Amino acid sequence: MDIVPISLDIDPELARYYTGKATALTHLIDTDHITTEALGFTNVPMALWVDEHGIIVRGPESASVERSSLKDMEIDESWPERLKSQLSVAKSIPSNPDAYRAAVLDWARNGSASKFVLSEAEIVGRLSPRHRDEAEAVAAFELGQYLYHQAGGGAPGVSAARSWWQRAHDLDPDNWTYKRQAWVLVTTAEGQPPDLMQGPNDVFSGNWLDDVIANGGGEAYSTPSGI
Amino acid sequence: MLTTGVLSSDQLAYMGWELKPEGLCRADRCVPLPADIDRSALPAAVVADRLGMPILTDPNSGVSAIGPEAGQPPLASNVLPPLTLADFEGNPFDLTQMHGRKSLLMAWASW
Repeated sequence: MDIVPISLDIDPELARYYTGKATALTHLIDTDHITTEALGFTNVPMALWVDEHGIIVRGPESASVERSSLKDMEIDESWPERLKSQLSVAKSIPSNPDAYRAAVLDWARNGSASKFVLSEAEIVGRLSPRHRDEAEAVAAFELGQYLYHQAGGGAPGVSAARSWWQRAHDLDPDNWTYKRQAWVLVTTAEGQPPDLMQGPNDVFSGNWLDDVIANGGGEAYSTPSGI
Repeated sequence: MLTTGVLSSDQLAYMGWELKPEGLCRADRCVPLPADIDRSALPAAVVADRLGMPILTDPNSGVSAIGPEAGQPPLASNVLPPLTLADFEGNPFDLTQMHGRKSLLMAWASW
C-alpha cells in the first residue's frame, strides 16, 4: 500500500520542513485546496482509501493515525485563560488513532475482504449534498487563493485575498481548511513555525477557539469515522 | 475553477462535462444550451447557470471562479475523479499513477 500525504498548504515551504522526516513517501501539495472540491477534504487530517483499480473504498473521513501530544498535556492553572481553554477544547476532540490505524492495516492485508471497505452506496450516502452556499464558498476561496498568489503572497497576498476568504468562511463555516489556512497566515509571527493557536486577529472575523466552541465544542469538531 | 469568461473543452472536461450536439453531457445526463450560443467560445456564466454552479467574479482582476454543482455530494460515485496535483519539486502528479496499488490519500497541513 502507498501512503500519499497531500499537504493543504498555500506555501509549500511551510510544509517542506515536515516532509523531510518521511522521505520515502510521495509527498503532494495542494496549494489551492482543490481536494476540497474534488475529494471532499474539509479539515486535516482526513483520508481517502483507494484500491488498485482506482475505486474509492472509504472516505473522505477524519483520519487520525497518531495520538496527539495535546491529549496528554497537563494544563497548568497558571497559564493564560485562553490557552487553557484552547487546550481543554483540543483535548475533547474525539479521535481513536489506534483503531483507525488498525483498520488501515486490515485493509492493507485483506483488501476488498476487509470489513472496513465500504460500498459505493455507503460512501456516497455518507456525504451530504452541497448546499448552494458551500458550492459558492469553493469559488470564493479559489478566487482568494488566486489573488493571494498574484499579489506575491505574504501580507500583500492576504490583503488581496481577504474579502473572498472571509466570504468563504461565512458561506461554509464547517470547512476548517478554509479558515485555518487563512488564520495561520495572519497569526504566525514572521520567521516562526505555523501558529497552531490561530487566535483572534484584526483581519478575519473568526478564530480557532471561538469557532470550535460556536460549532459545538471539541466533541463536534471532528466527525468520528465509525471505526 | 478559474476562468476569464470563456470555457475551453479541457476546462469542461475538468468539470466532468462534455460538449455534444444535444448540449453539455455527463454520463447519461445532458443539459441543453441556448440555441444561439457560440459553441466555440462557451461563456462561463451561461454554462454555470445551466449546470447549477455558482460563479463569482472579482471586479478588480476580472477573473471568475466557478464552484461545484450545488445539490450534489462531493463524490458522485466511488471512482476516484481525475485529479492532478504537484509534488514538492513542482512536477505534476496524476493520481491515476497510483493505480495498481492500494493508496491511502492523507490530507494534512503544517497549520
